[in-house]
Amino acid sequence: MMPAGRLTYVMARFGLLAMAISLAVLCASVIVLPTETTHISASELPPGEVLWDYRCVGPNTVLEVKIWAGKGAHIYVIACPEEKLAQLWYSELNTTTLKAFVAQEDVKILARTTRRLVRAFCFDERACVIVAVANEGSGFPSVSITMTMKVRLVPLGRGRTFSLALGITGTVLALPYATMRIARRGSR
Amino acid sequence: MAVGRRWPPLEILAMDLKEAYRFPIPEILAFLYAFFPLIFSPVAYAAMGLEAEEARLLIIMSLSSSMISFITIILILKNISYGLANEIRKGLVQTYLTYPVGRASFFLVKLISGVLIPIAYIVLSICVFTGLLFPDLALKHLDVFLLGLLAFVADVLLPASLMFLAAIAVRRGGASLAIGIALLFAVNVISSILLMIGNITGWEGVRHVYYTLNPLAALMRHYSLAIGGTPLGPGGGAPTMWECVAYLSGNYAIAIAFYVAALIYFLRRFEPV
Repeated sequence: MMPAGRLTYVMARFGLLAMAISLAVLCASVIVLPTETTHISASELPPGEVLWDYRCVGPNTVLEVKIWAGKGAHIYVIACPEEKLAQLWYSELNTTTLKAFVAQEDVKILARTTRRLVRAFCFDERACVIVAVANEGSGFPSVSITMTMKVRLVPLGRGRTFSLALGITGTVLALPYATMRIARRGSR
Repeated sequence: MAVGRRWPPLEILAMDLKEAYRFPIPEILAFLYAFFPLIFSPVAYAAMGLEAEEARLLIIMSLSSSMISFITIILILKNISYGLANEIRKGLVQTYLTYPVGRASFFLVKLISGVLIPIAYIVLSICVFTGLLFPDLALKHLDVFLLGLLAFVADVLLPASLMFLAAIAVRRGGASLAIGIALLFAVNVISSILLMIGNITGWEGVRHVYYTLNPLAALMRHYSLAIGGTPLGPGGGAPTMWECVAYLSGNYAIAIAFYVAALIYFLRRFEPV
């Protein structure tokens, strides 16, 4: 084999190695393992009161939220820095304090709806997610909150970027040898 | 001009790689080495609760490499203890040495294909795992990351040097494999005995020998990481950073001494069957 041919072969093998690693990372990034499920409920939520729960999440976590609430109840899914959580512990949470909390600068509303919410949330950074159901009406609705934490083996964004970059690099490295092989086969 | 004529060792390396790392073996190995540690990523995230960031980094690295190191040792056993010894037995080495290639170059080729390539897989595995999950932590403590990486490599390099020496001296695949496994056990048994003696008596000399054989343990102890959460150590206080570096250098010096001994034997005494 001539030097150029050997060089393209070595490049192709390195390219295939890069593609294998890229595939491994891609496979890992789609695997999600459930870790814990919590459930809280209230058969009657008095007016002005809030039923809430929280989970601290990271870039590899997926939080699946299932909420059912009766008439007059508002559902909030909020993300805030971990330090902010102490504020909720020290003050009794009701509809007024919840609205004041949500109005703060570094508190982000991920979802806000009424009656029913079934959704999975992914995160780019560490945060605390608060799921709250506030009775802003005058009735006594029933409320049910179920949160399932799932762990992704590799953070989705980072895993896919890494996998894509490595896959492209691998393809570029393997391409000259593949082209050479195809051309050689064609000339026979 | 053909490359083979200019660089005969490269030609032999190419033949060796073609034999031992035929498509798709290296690709499958790369996939497994990259994928397998990622299974432990939930545990790695749980380690984020540890106080010292350096300790966190070492725990994360050890999660990615513990099983991988064992698999790599098996790979080296297959390549060196079985592969090289069988090549000597079957007279293949004699054929290789008819090439215009020096014995030292041939030795280097075998070292690359038999030991250094499997070790490169460990490095790849640790780098992919840490770089993908905790890039900021690894970059922030790059010195700890590199020292840890060297310590993980040392864990494999020293037993591999003994296997290499045994394969050249014994020259029979089966016997060399058995001796290689026995040596691996011996190193671990000696290490455990030193750990126990050090733990009971607190002798400083024993502690130094133990940490020289296990530089990773010294590094972990330096960052106050006890094995399995229990204060099981070879006695004495935590080693300083310079002591850790000295233990690591000592380990590499011993491994290199064994490789040099194997090389000298190969150059002066070795007669292919």
